[in-house]
Amino acid sequence: MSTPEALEALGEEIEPAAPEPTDPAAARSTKSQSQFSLAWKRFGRNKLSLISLVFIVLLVLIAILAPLVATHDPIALDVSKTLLKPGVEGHLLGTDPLGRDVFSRLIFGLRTALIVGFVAELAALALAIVIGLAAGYAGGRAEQLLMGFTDVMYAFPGYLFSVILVTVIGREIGAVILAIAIASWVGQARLVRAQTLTLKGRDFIEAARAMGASGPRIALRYILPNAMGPILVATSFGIPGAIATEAGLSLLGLGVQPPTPSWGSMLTEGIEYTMVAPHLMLAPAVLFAATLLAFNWVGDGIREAFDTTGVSR
Amino acid sequence: MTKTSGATATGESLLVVEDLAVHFRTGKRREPIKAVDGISYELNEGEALAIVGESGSGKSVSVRALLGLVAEGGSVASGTARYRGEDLLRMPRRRMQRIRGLDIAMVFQDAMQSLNPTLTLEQQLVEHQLWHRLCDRLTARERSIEMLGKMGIPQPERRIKAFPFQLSGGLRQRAMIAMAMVTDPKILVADEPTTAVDVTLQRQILDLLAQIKEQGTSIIMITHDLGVAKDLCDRVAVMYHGKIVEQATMEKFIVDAQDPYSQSLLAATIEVGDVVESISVEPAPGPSDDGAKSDGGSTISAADEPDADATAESDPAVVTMRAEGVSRVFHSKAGTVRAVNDVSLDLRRGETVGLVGESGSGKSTLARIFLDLIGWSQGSVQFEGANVATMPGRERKAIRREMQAVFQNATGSLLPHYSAIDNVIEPLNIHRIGGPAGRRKRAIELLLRVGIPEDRINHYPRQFSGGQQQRIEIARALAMDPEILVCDEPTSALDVSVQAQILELFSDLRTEMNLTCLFISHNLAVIEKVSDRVAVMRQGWIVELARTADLFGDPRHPYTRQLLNAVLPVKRESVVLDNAVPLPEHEGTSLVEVGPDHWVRLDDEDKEEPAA
Amino acid sequence: MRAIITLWLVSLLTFVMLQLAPGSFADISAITSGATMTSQGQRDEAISSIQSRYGDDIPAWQQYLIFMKGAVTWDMGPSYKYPSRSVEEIISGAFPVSASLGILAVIVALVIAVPIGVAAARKRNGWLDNTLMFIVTALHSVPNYLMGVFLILLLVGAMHLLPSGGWDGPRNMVMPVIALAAGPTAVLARYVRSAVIETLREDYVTTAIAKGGSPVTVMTRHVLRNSLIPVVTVVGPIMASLISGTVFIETLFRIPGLGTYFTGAATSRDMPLLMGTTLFFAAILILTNVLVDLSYGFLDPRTRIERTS
Repeated sequence: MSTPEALEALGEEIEPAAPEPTDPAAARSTKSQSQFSLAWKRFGRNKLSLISLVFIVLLVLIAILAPLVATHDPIALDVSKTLLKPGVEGHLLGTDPLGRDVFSRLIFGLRTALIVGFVAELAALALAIVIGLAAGYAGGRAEQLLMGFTDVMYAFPGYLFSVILVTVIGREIGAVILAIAIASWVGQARLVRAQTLTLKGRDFIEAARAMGASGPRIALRYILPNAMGPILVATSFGIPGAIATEAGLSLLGLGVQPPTPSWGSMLTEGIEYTMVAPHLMLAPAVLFAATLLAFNWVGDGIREAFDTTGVSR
Repeated sequence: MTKTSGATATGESLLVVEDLAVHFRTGKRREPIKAVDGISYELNEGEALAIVGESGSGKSVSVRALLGLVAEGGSVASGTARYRGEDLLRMPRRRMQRIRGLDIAMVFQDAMQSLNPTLTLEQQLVEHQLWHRLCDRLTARERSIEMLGKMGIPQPERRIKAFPFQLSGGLRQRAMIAMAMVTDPKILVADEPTTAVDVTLQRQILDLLAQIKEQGTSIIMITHDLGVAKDLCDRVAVMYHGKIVEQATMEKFIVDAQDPYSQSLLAATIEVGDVVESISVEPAPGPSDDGAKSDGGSTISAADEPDADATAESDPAVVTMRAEGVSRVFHSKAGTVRAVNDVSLDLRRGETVGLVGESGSGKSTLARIFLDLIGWSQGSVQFEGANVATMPGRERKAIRREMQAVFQNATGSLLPHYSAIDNVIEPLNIHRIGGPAGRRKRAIELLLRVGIPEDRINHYPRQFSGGQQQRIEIARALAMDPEILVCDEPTSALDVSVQAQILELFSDLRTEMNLTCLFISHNLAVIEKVSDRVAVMRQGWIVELARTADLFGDPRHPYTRQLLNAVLPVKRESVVLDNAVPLPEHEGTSLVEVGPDHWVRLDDEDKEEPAA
Repeated sequence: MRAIITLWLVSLLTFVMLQLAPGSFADISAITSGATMTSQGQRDEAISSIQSRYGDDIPAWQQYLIFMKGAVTWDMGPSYKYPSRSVEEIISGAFPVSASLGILAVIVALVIAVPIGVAAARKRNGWLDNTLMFIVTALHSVPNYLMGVFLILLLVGAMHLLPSGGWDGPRNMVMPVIALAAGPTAVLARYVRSAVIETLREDYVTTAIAKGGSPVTVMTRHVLRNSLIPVVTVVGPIMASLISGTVFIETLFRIPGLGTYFTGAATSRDMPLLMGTTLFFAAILILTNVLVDLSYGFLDPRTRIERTS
């Protein structure tokens, strides 16, 4: 359920780095310890998150090397070899109703998913940071823009908006990415804005102004770095959100245009054969779930790592 | 004021604590933190015991342990705490529930936090009476109303229906105490009850507690303030790093403390009267009327009278910064607030002007006006003779560099994601002063000067103690070599011993660098120590302005006298200033000169007794 | 009120986007639905009845106004795709279907999530908390249709317990409701947990304990009441996700609810139906948000009194 609203709801759980209490344990250490190095250490202690991170790196590598890893051409049809069981004739996971190798489709589906996930999220994030920061710090037009979008988006149930967008923009992978990004930036921008507002009231910002720092300097150099924790968390939840949105769209028949493999369409194609050939649905479902879980655990790990108040953990 | 004399009521022993230890787990493999490391004391009937200590001493934890309220991760490691023979630490839960609130009641520091915001006073005062089955709901309500009245809340039968946020701070604090007392407990534990409040409210609360003591309830008071402890309590126990280092009757402790830590604590406690030796009780002969001006405010200009008595360093002829008739009004949904009213104040080169007042007096707002951080609605502000408001933008930005600030909350004021040295360099970066190498060099110099060792300059703020953070902040403020330094309550959040060090550092620096300072504090003793001249503010007005010796030696304005009367002495004799001082003739609101460089602002209301 | 303006903006936006979308209804139906029309005659009849209302000869903006008038008066004319039925008929028929799924999902979520959240908060960082939150995170990461897929694999494929789709009886509701409820349960559990943890830290809770309150009393009277306020905030987003959720779940399980009709309308550029369903969804969401806002006044005296003063 990684809709934009849920994302924001999650974000509200995260405090920007609260004024850290003086930490005598840290004082005893002889090395300087920035917030990030500290967060990284804490992250490292979380076994689950660490494993998930490694897993993701592995997935990325596989996706990049997809043509090498896949055993067959994912879109090659072969009607003489339909619905083979896994392990038969060199098809690691069997074939689908059109004779295409499931394993290869899975790998290329991974590639699609990761591309959509990363690119859509990064685009949304960039926009979210720019508008959110401006809205939170300076108000003005950025704020009005954001508020306007928010009102409409809040009334527009999340996916519905992407669905409509896709019908408008089309089903090229670029278009799908764009649709997803447009649907999700608002939630993240609100998060950035909320963090900015909270940080704006903190003492060091007033001190910065007393020093004579200019607005942009304050926003970019003092506020943004301190909001990075929650922003990173939002990103690591945003990526699986984007992947899930794309798969969902494919499920409805509105995702990335076939024949480009997508896990979502693999699921729809497989549902009719649940009894006969469950591996058609099982394979993408498992890998899909594993990917999402990994990202979520990393996100949780980041959130705990930055959390000084001890609420998340 | 006065407390019942040292003779405790019956002397019967109520609470005997022996070897109490509370440890906190910090992780599977690490040593537990010994927050309380084996303390023993007794509380007798009718007496008030103060447990005094600085932050981290374990005082709060030790009393919370008595009621089983230790925070997560902590547990009682050993010891006993016998209340009338029964060990509180090993009691079954049901029994402890019965004791809580009925025999032993606790009040905490902040009434706003301690009261449930979604329940009315009535609900919160009645509920535990019912839990303990003391009476039926109707009677409980009656008792609650009665107790509110006893605690000094007017119209209690109406007030009881209110929610906590609808009451003023003072009434809320009283309501919180009423809630604790309505069950008539034998022991009242008060954890820093006066720490967050103004001096006048502090006085009222202490009187309230004295009243409670007189009526038979024993009190354990936790505080870091020796003046508060001395005012109310008969005996004192000093805690340091989890141990009680000294225990004695209050009188003996003050006069003849044995333990080195206690001695250092007493030595570090600064008081009103430390600097200005004698506080005259007799009013000086009536002032002349010549200085009276009509309202609209007047400039207090030193240029008018070359002052031979001024402190050696200050150069009266040079006014670095001047505010003339400045007002600042804030508009909000709640209404219009006149934060600063017609204030005229000079800052002369090399001098330190102390600005003192309670919360809401406008001192912080005035400071920010001087720093050109916020605007003003009326009047003018001049820097070295030039009007700030009409300066061209470039010039205005340039003079901003000459005014730097040190704030109260150093932890919050330093950039958390920059190291100490980067924090000090940052103002130089902002204003592009010198080259990168030069900036770094200067930053290192400053950090060393304020006492931060070189091997720690790359550490981040959270890795330093509170006092060290304040030092870094001072270094940062001085990086620009400013003309004017504004200090807004720089030591208020620090422990007494640390405060003394910081104030010493401050004194040295301002002489060395010939700084002009505006020093804000609510603490009169601190103001007395650092200031050449003092301005007393109330509700946006400067009500008295004088040289330090004159203000403390011969305070004229009724409000100033009220503030001084509310000061709690520790080592010194308590001095009561008579409030019936003949005021000079004045028309309406006007500024009256009552002595050389000594001004008093009087209103029509001041003809009568000042409001409490 | 703002709500009305928002609703209007949504309608405008949807309409505009639809106009921008490539392909009109006629084109697409020509491509895809040759099979659904049994004869040329029926098809012509259908198209002419559509054209009488929203025909090609009427300019777009007028079509919009006609539709909006219809929306307000609950008379939106025939759907393009199902010309024998009017839009409002379709919505009225499909809404109870989706609503029943949604309401059941909410009930399930509340019943499960609140106790879990409270239990986890009370034993913070203990094994119970860690285990529960692990499960919660897992539930939360998986989108509802994926949950649906796993359910199908398990209960249909492996255990042959339930039918894989359709809408004939209560048995059809089991899997969709579980799949729909999973996400909201997870979010709610998380929220309840952090709200309770925060509240437990408040001084007034310590005070209540110090006054001699029993754990149960303190929890119900002081903690839960005040934890509700932040939790209510999340009801809006949960409602939104439920609405989007039905779109996928209904498609996956072939359930004739609003979601299915919405998707169908989008793909076939069925303007009236698309507008109708979108507006309906939006109205529900806005209504939820309004109710949430009102509830603040009920829960938090500070808001209540500020409003009246």
